Amino acid sequence: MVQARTIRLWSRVHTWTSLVCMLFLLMLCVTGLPLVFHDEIDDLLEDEIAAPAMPEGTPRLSLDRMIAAAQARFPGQYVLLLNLKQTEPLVTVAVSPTAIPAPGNFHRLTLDARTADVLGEEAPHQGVMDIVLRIHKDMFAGLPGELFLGAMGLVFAVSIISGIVVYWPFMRRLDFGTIRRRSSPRVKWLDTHNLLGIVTVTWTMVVGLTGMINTLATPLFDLWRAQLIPVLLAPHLGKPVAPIPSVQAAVELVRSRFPDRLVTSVTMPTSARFGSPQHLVVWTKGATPFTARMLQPMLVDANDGKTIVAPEVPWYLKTLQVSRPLHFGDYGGLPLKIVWAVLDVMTIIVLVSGIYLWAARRSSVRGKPLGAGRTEAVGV
Amino acid sequence: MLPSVPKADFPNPARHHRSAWDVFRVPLLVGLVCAAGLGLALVGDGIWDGLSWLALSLPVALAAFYWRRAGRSH
Repeated sequence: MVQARTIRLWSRVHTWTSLVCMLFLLMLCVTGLPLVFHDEIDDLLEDEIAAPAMPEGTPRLSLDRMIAAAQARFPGQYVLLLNLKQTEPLVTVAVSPTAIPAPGNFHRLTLDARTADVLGEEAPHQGVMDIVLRIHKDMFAGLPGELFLGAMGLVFAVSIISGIVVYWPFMRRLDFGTIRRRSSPRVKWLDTHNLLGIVTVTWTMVVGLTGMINTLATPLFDLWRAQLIPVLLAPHLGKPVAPIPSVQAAVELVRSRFPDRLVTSVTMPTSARFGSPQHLVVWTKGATPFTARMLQPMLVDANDGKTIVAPEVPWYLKTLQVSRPLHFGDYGGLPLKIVWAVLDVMTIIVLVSGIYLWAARRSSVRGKPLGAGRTEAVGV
Repeated sequence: MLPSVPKADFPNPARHHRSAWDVFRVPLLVGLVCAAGLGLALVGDGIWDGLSWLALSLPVALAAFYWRRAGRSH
């Protein structure tokens, strides 16, 4: 029978793709669970820096004063970037002892935007959540680790698709949602695996594939930069990294030219991978929940402080930006995060019951005398 | 037949085989509701978020409902 053979083939695909990615997927689900509540846990573990109360409408100082304050605090160090808090009059400034920052080796100063007082200073350190994130993202193996987990995501997608195909023969004589609890544990867990697996399929597919897209972030961003920066830098060939021009003037210029965009951060001229040696990169976002995910860099020439280039963000980076919230589940408030966590736990149950079913079937095939076991299995 | 699936997994051999449409009708609906839920919270805040929570709670509710029903039936 062709059909039986086809189903057997899909069943094998399901078994083997699942076995290949199982351990990594369990790791991803378990580490992903606390990461869903990343913000809440961070708030709990670390003292949130709040801006002191001041009369409404107290004017903000120039952003250049923030940079001067950070330079006064760490003389001779490199100011890398500036973050503008949207909800509070706070500015964070990242300062590094080296021109190209080593991971975890920079200070983050939080300043009051109205007084330029240093309110907080985050020394280079790795919190528990940073470690969980590193495991989840690349297992401390850098880009190769990231790409490897991306490949596991792809294998997981094949496992899901084959799982949908084999759902049919299993459910041909059962009502949707049947769990035969009276039967053997194996049957009970088979039904549970089928039910939980099929109802979560859209979510697991979306979170799996967007996670896979996220693993391509570094190469994709590098690709865009490699296409864009040489063209922009052609007139400045051979020049050293430009000194920091007036950031306030550049931000105001961007705001007046693009009044519907919110400025979120500014990257100083740098030879590091995240910026340009001859430009201030003013990062902007839109005002709606969807466009707020779409970051648009505006490159302000650091030599004249006037020329703005607003490069068209390529489709693959737009895809990447949309895929981020869909992976993190952080775009619909705390209730969405809770739903995310429950679906994650359901996925863990599907994974563990899958392993159990595979192990139980293997032992039942081995344990039974050849003749009896085979006839029972093949019968009907 | 399926070599890997013991007969005990099909308790009701007398019943007709279901077509793929019969088997996948409900899962398809659940999948569409979830897809809508994933998209809705991206569109806006407030009511959109609420609809998204409801839609994405459907798999959880179904799993809880059928698990409890199975427990009660004997």
